[in-house]
Amino acid sequence: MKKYILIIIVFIFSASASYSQGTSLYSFDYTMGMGVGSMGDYIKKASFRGLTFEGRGFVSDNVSVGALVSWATFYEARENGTYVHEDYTTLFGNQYRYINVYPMLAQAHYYFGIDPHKTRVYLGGGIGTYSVNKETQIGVWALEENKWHFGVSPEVGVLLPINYSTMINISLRYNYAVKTKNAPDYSWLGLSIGFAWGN
Amino acid sequence: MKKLFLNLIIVAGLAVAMTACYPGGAEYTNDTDIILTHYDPEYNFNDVNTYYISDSIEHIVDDGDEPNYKYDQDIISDLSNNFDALGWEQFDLNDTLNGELPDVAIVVSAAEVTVYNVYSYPWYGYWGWGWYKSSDYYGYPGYGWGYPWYGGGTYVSTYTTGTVLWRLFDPEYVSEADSTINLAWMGVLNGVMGSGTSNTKGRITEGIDQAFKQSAYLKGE
Repeated sequence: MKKYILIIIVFIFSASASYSQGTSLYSFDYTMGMGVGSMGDYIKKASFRGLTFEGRGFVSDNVSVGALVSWATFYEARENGTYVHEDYTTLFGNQYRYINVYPMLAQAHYYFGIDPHKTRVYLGGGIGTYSVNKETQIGVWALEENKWHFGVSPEVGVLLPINYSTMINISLRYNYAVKTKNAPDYSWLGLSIGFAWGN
Repeated sequence: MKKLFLNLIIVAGLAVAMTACYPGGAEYTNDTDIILTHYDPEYNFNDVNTYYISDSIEHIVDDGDEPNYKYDQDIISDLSNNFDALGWEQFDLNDTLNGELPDVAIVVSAAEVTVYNVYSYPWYGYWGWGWYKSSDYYGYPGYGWGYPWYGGGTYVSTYTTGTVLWRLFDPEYVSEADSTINLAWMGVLNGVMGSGTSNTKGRITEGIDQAFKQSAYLKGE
């Protein structure tokens, strides 16, 4: 996993820096999350452990393409929960539920406004792979599920300039990792706040 | 290049910082208490009216360790109370002399070893069994346990120190051909007899009650 993330990070830097327009944008954000759908049923608590790193290269004044790598941990402890496995096995005890998600996406964005020194709202989205690691710890045992999913991620955000080359980036992203043969789908909302810088 | 390197360092540093505050999990010994039940979905519990439970417990200990018999009668009593509450009648051993068998029999074990693999222990002919299936032999010496849920994907086979477990079987479904005692139900309390724990008796009672509560099929539901 670490190897993949490192490759993606290097790819983000190199891809976004290579565009002929000569402008690129990087952002590094703190990301909070809230599961929705079946993922929200499994872990109701919001996630306050997440990071997002992305690079974008401008192909025109208000269109960029790039890539993203992110990580978030969802966690909830449930006292005296019941876990039923294949109908005939029941485990009762304290449960510690974890979901670690690692989106790795190719992205495209459209910006309202072309002046990078003014506030710009953008719309966009990503498409790519999601590595999802779900773990239910009960007592001294853990039930684990590690799967790769295909997924999409629409996004809306805003860039707020601080100085000539640095901005604050705020974005709201919906992540949807489609179900696989042996794993359910996962969906969550992510709110990211961080710094963006460009050249 | 210097800027790229600096950015990578910042990203890596913050990622490590976030990983360091990874959420916790169990903190105290009793956070890991588990009540586990398995059953054979093919078995019809509606037909059960009588049960036999041994008056002693099989203790599994490491070499040189002394078994802890302190809670044996509490465990037997808690189990009997719950079987009685199902409307099942405790079997009178004298009836075996007339060739009668109980509908089901229960064998109770306490594993006090560090790691106990439930699937690796065959029938144990301990002295308290008390029921002769026939005049030829005592219990089911040399028989293995048959687990109908075994092989169905994820299952738990090893338990840590302080485990109480009971196996329920129907004597009619003991296979003499392959020396297997096919189980209809199994309950496991993991952790309740661990060292350094408090209120052991209360946790055993609560655990056994919960095992029955989560096994509504025993009532035919």
